[in-house]
Amino acid sequence: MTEQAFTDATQIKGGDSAEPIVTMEHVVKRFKDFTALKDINFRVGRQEVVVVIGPSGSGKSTMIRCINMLEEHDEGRIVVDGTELTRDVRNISEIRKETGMVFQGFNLFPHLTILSNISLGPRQVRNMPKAEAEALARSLLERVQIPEQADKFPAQLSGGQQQRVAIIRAMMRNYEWLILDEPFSHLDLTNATIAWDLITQQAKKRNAGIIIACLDPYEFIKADKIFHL
Amino acid sequence: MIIWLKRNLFRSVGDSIISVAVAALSGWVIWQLLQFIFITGRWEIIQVNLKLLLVGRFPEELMWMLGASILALSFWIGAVASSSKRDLNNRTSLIKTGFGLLSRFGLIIALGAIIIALAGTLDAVLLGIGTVAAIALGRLVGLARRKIAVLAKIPWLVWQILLVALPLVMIIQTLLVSDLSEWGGFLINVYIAILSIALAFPLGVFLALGRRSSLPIVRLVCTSYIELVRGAPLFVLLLLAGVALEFFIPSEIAPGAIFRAVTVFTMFTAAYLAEIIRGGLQSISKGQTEAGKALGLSTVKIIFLITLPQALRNVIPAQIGQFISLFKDTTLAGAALSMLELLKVGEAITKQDDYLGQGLVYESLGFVALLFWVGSYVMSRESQRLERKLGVGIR
Repeated sequence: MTEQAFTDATQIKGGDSAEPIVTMEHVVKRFKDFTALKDINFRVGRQEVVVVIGPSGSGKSTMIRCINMLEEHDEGRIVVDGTELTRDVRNISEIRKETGMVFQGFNLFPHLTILSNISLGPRQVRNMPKAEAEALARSLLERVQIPEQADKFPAQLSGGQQQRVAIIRAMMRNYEWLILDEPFSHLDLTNATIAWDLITQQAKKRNAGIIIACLDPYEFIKADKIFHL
Repeated sequence: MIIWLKRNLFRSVGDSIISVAVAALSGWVIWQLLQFIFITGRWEIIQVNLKLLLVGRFPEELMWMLGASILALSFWIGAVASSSKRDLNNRTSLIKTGFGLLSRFGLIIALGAIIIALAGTLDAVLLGIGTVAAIALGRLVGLARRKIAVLAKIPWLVWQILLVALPLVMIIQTLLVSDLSEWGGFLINVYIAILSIALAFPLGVFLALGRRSSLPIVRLVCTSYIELVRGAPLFVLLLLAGVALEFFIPSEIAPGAIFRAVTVFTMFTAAYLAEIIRGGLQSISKGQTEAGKALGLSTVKIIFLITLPQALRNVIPAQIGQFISLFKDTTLAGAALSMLELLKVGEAITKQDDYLGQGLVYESLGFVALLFWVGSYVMSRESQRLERKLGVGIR
């Protein structure tokens, strides 16, 4: 038996997108001898909610990380918002500017306060004034019910609280689409629902697409498409 | 108390024997030491040569500038220390504050008192009082910035530049007026150490980043530099600096010994520091860089806002260790470049006509060791404070 049990994506819900914003065609990704992704075909349209499910180790993270080039694919084509992903530095940063991402392991910055973690992006990338960025950050923290954590450091928060901070950090971006890697793994159903409402509301405002990788589809996610890896 | 003794020192017959033996030995050592310090030690050699030990042949008529520099530095330290973000309303009792100050600065205060007592002049006493007053004044100024609205409006950077301007101008003025070759004693050790640390730190950071660079040429240059300099003994490098420059530059216009010493110490420490900092950078997970990329930050911003601050924080103990080592290694400059630094002076004074062949090397080297020990210990203590403040291990 080879090590390639789950490598191609099967669409199990939804049709084709008329105006795709992210397209993957015959994408292959290898780590040395191991083929993590084999022949992935995938489309996401504007304002669509796409869920990628599959057991752990099936390549969900790898697949969505290819979209903002945290992983480089070996074969096939990935076209994001009309630009094909190549090694050209300029187009990577263009793509990343339009992507919001929540990492599986949160990847909060341990040396910065929660408030700085959240406001760093807009302040450094979009030159948003400090006061404005922090006010926005505080209002979003209020929405996910952890406003009192603003001045603490990540290590002082619980896993669920850190996860909500990670979600808000992505929300602060000027994104065209959101990539969420198991964004509710540490949240109870109530808090996950609150976070999801915030995510969808913000995405609608920006006309953004959402790609979520998770082990199982949540009830409250009204997915337009579901892929199984 | 008795229970504690029983439990910790006399738990068994073997324990008891060891406890008594160790107590007797340490008691004897302490007794000998106290006898040497207070009874048999002939400290007049230090007293007479105090100026030589501390500042070398620094011109007498310019000593006031040195004093003024110390006062300006004290003022700056006071002002910078009080501008930290401590809660003003959180008042602790006077006794507690006093005890805290004593445990942090007690050693320096004690050393200052010893030196003043040894000097025994009015000037020394005045300088001591002035230093305390300058620190207090600095704290008041720092406090004023937080209490008075007009001062609080000054941008942080401008304020810092304003504060540092006074000591900097004073020190540069002293450097300009006096001939650097007349500097000596402990002053030279401190001067070389501070200057080398200030220069080696940024160089070390850039070498560490360079060694991890994706550009092969940069990587090659940095790696070769680090491996080459780290592989050579510091003493050899210092000896080379003493003679090698004459190969290229005529001796009349070649830079002085201090310049050469600072160059060697900077180059040497930077190479070691680079490896320490590289170790720190390697301890930062890939996820941090990825999170930075995902936020759209440029590579430079990811390094200077995210990975480097964390890396530097993680390796504070090793960095300070390197700085302490540099501070003590400044004594090598005396032997290699025949510079009149503290150790060299300490040796030389025992060979003066008045003291020759009287075995006063204990007194003189003891004093030299004391100065270095206090300096190193203060650095080590402050680094632990810095670690606690930055929350190493907690966040």
